[in-house]
Amino acid sequence: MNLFRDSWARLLVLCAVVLVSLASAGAFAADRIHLADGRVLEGEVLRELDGHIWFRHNVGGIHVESIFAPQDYTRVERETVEERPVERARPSREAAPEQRRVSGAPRAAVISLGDGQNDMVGLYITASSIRDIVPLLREEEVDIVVFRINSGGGLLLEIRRLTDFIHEQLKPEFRVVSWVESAISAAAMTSHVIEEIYFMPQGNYGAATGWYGRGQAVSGRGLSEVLYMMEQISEKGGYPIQIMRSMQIDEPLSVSFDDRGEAVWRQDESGDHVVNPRGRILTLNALDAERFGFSRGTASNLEQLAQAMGLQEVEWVGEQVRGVPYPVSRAEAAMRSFRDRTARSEVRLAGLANQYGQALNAAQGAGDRQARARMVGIARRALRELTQAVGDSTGHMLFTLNQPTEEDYREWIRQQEEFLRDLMR
Amino acid sequence: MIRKLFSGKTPVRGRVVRNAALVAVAWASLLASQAPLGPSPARALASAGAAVEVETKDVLVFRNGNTLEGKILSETATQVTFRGTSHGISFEATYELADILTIQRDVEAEGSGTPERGEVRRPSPTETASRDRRVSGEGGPVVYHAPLRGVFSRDIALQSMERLVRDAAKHAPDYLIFTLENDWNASMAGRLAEEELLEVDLGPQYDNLFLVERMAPLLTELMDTEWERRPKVIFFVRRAMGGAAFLPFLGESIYFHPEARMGGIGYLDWFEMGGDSMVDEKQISLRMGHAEGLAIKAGYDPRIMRAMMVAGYALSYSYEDGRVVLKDGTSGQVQLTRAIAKGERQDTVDDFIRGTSRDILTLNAEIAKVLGISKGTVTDLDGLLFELGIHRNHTLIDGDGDRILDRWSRSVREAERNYVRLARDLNEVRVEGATRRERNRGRGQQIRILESMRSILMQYDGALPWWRLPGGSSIEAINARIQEIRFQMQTDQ
Repeated sequence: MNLFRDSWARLLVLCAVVLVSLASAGAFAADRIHLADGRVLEGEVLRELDGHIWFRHNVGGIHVESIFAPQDYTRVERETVEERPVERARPSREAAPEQRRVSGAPRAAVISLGDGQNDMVGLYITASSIRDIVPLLREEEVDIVVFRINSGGGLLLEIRRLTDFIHEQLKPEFRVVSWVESAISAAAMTSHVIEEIYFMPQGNYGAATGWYGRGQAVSGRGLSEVLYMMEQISEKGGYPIQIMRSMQIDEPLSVSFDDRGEAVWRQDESGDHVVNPRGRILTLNALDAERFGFSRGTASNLEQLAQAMGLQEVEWVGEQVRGVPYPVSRAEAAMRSFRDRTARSEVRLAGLANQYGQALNAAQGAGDRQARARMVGIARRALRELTQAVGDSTGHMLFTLNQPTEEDYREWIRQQEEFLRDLMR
Repeated sequence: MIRKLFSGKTPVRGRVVRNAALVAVAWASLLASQAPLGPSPARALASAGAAVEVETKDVLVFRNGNTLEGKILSETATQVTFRGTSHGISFEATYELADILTIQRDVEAEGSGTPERGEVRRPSPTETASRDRRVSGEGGPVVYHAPLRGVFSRDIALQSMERLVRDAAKHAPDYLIFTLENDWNASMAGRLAEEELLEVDLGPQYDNLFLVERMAPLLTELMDTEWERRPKVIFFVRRAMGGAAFLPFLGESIYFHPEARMGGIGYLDWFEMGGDSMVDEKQISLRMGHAEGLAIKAGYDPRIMRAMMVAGYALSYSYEDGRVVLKDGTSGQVQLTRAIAKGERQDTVDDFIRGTSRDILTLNAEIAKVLGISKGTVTDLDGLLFELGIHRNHTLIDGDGDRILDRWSRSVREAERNYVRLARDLNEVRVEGATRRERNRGRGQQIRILESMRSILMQYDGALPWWRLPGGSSIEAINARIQEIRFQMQTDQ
């Protein structure tokens, strides 16, 4: 089925774009699609299926509708959900009759955040990638979103975006659950906004110390900001702030249980159980997480998870896919496709950055103005392609160009452009 | 930010034959019945004690993959009557031709012929595939046995494990048994100086944890969804040292050879990045979290894993009400490990080599049994099958795993040679000539070589560390080099 869809859509892309001459002018939503060849098209996302995007845009004053296969684009920027008419935000369910609810049981979808390989928060786990699958979750009539987390961490910068989106956009619409295989550092900090956390038996969660360079810990104002951010996120997730603090910095942690059996956490070693001794950074395992009431249970498979979640009945949305131990919904397929594309674009970006650097060096060393102009021209093209491909991915900004924030990145571009101009003076 | 460097009832399908006098009949009849997938043989005769002498032999290859070796006695249009030997007992049986895929006639016999009962055949790589596969036993639970030997991460790699497991899946075994005996000794490091040896052998072992995590789904989650029924995964440990020590934790149960050792990880708490200590603590903490998770998933006390990995952690145990109770620190009756300060190693190289270390926990058969890690101590596969209660009644599929692992190991070595040759060829390519076209021809050749090098590294990801190869470059470095050459092609005038 998927093969058929792939071939069919690819054929459509290869053959031509479909002219939609009767479409009314200027009625596009402000969506942007970043193509793998570096072009960025503005228009409207009409439909999405298995990562394929039906996109209406303007070519020479004529409205055309193109279909892009997952490998043809790197990223899609959309209007925010609130700006869209309701009909657009919740696409017609007639479009996907096979996904319609067949019983009264709640429908749940497993969405993987990281796969242990492509797992960097900010690069492979982003707020925009989750936002992009929401329409598919709606189409599939999903009630429960289970984030299966397997990530070694990533960018501090993305945590706020992710937690805000989960808290403000997802939680009001879906029951959101975190199922932890491994949530280290930024992944744990992201999961912390979710009230319902379940561990896999091998699960681990914590080690959230911010660092940079060759093992320098984030300190000073930067540290204070992160600590404060995590206090806010802890509150949203309903966790005592002491737990995350012990995951971030050298703070002991202990717990006692009161008469009602409720956990009382202390930022010292005076409680009945020392969860984290002084001088250590906390990473919780499944046994301790459940024992101390941090997790709501431990589940090694979907059956156990449903039981731990108190679900008498549940319909797991998706199809069995070889190599994947849970049903793959269309939303999950889109998430997997996003990770694949991101991995490919990482390689491409590295090439472009390399090309830019080489052209710049060659321009600086060029003896005559003509040769220099030629190299500057190559450098400019590489820079343009580079910036188009990076888009607003903070992950790419950092990992390809070593620019930790969007502001740094913009400043870097400005400096490069200025430098190129100077070379031609 | 961080980046990772990265049960139930035993199914018994046949009857247990206890009476020795009945054994011969049962072997023949059950063997025959298990061989083909279709109807049972029309006739089964036993002639216990009558040895089959074969200068040449015939081989029946059944459609279900099983093979039998012996002599064809007679044939009709639909049946073949065959005399063979299984586990030292000869038998005669008649099989339907419809169940037979091919008949190999007059194949030259080798050595002592068919193996003795319970003998684990270890075929040489030169033997044919059909002769690699051995079906022994009488149609009880199906046991797929695979050896895991060689260097962990190179021979025992994600790719070879995947191939082994996929092959095992085809046989739908009730038991999947891995005999683990990885290469791990002083000579591997190729050095003699003590400190160098320790540094090489001890330093990076804990990060092999992440490789084992990548192997884990093959033996755990994916078995639930992709196998018809989940087999019992059993590790028979002969040697599981260094990174391989994490591997048995993926199994449902572990058995030890009397001389087995499992451990040699250690010193995670000495981890240093060269920056702030809290960042080191973070790195230690996350690794410990992953490692403890492996132990917990396997059903063991995570403190055992901690003692195997952390030199600053002391573990002891006492017997309380006849049970072993682990104790943090040294308050228990029996000391397993002592807590040592960073840099103050007390174990000697001798301890390290012999597996008698107390700075970190290395399990031997006795300790493993006491701690409940090992379910039993057995000397060989037969002993293990006995422990499992299926000694007299099983179908053993052995040999395929050997062949798969051999083939993988050979291909890794071949890839290694090819890579080194390509690296050498790359250095010999000259970019010269009077014209841009001539120079670009050389550059094009360089790019093709680099692409071949990259392809090898991608195919053997994890098994072929580029930094150990003469002329080795990472995939990223190769990509950059290709880019550089393309730039030169573009700008050459």
